[in-house]
Amino acid sequence: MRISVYLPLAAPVLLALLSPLIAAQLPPRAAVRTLTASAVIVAAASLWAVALLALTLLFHAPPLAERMSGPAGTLSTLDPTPMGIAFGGAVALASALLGLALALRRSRRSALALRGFGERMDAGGGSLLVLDDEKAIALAVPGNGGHVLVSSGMLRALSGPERRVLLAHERSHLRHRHHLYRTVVALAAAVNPLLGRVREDLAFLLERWADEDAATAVQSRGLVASALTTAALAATGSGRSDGAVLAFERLGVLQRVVALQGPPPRPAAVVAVAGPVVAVLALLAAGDATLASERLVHLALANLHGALLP
Amino acid sequence: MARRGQRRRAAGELEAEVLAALWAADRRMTAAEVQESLGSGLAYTTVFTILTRLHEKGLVERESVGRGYSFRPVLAEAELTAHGMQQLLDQGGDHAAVLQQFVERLSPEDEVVLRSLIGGD
Repeated sequence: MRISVYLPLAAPVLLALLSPLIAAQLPPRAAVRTLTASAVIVAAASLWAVALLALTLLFHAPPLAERMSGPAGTLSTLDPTPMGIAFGGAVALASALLGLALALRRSRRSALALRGFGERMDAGGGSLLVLDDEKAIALAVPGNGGHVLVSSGMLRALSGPERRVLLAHERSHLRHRHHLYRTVVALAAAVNPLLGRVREDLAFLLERWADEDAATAVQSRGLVASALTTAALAATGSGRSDGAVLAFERLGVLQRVVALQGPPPRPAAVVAVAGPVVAVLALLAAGDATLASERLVHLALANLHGALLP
Repeated sequence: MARRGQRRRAAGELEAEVLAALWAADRRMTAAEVQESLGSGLAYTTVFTILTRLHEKGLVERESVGRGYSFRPVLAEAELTAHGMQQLLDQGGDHAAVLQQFVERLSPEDEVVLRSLIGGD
C-alpha cells in the first residue's frame, strides 16, 4: 500500500490546525461554507483510506494468504502493509462507522423531539414563541417552518431596538438553516474526532454570521454588540446555579462583541483556498490509493485463481 | 415613516416585534405605548393594525380603556415553561447541534472583561 493511503489520514489534522486561522481571517459566511465542505470531504477521504488499509487484512487471511501472495511472494512486494497497521485500520474503521451510526441516531432523536415540540407552537406572531420564565433564554428552533423561542425574562432585559437585534439574529439562523451545517460537521467529527476543533470553530462562526446579518437588518453593528452584552449579562445574572438549564456551550460572546466593535471582516484570498486545497489533496491521495488497492486486489485474485486451478 | 436606509420589514417580523414588546412590558399597554417601546420608527397606525391582527389571531387580549384599548399577550393553553422544554429535549438527541442559542452564560472572568468593554464606550 502506497504512501498515498496515509495522506488522507493526515488531512484532518491539517484542517483542524488551519481551522482557527480560517475562522479568524475570513468573513463568517465564507468561513462556514469552506470549513463545512472541507470537513465533510476530509472526513470521507480519511474514512475511505482507513477502509483501504483494513482491506489489506484480507491478504493475510490464513486459509488464502499464501495462495494470494503468489509466486515468490509478489503480492507482499507490492503491498508491504504490515498486518499490525492493517489491523489498526480495521479497528479505526469500525470505530468510525460506530461513531457515525451513533451520531446519526442522536441527530434523528433531536429531529423527533423538535417535531413534538413544534406541534405545540403557534403559527402566528411571526413564529415567535415566548416562554414565561424570568431566566434569560433565546433560541432558534429549526423545523416546522422555524421558530424563535425567547423567555419573557430575556425580552424584559432588552430595549426595543435590542429586541429587534435578537429577533433578526435568530431569524438569520433559521433562514440560512445553520442547524444543517452544524449537523453535517458533527457527523464529520463523529467519523474523525480529529475534526472536533472544526466543529467548535463552526459554532462560533455561525453566531458571527447571524450577528452580521442582524447588524445589516438594524443598520448598526454597535447596537448588536450592545444587545449581546445586555443579553449575556442578563443570562449570567438571572441563572441561579441550579444547573445550566439550556446553557449548552461556549459561544464566544466576548469575541463576538469585540468583532462587532471592529470593522466588518474582509476576505483573505490565501486563507480562502486553504480548506479546499487540503480537501482536494485528500481526495487525490484517496483516489491514488484506491487505484493502488485495485491493482493489489486484482493481483491477489489472479494469484488465487492460479493457485486454485490446476 | 421608516427611517432612511431601513428596509421594509415583513409582516411576520413586525408581529413578532410587537408581541415581544408586550411581553417585555409585563403590564397592559396602549398602542401608543407599544409604539414608543419599539423605538423603531413605526407609524402609530401600523402598530395599531398589527395589534388588531394579533388580537384576531388570539395572541393578544384587549380591553377598552377610555376611547381606545389596552393590550396584553395571551399565554398559550399549555403554558410552556423552561422546565417543560428541557423535558422535551431530555428525550435524547444532540440538541446542542440543532438549537442555536443567542448567548451563553458568562464566566466570572468574562463578565468582568465584558463590563469593562462597554464601560469604555
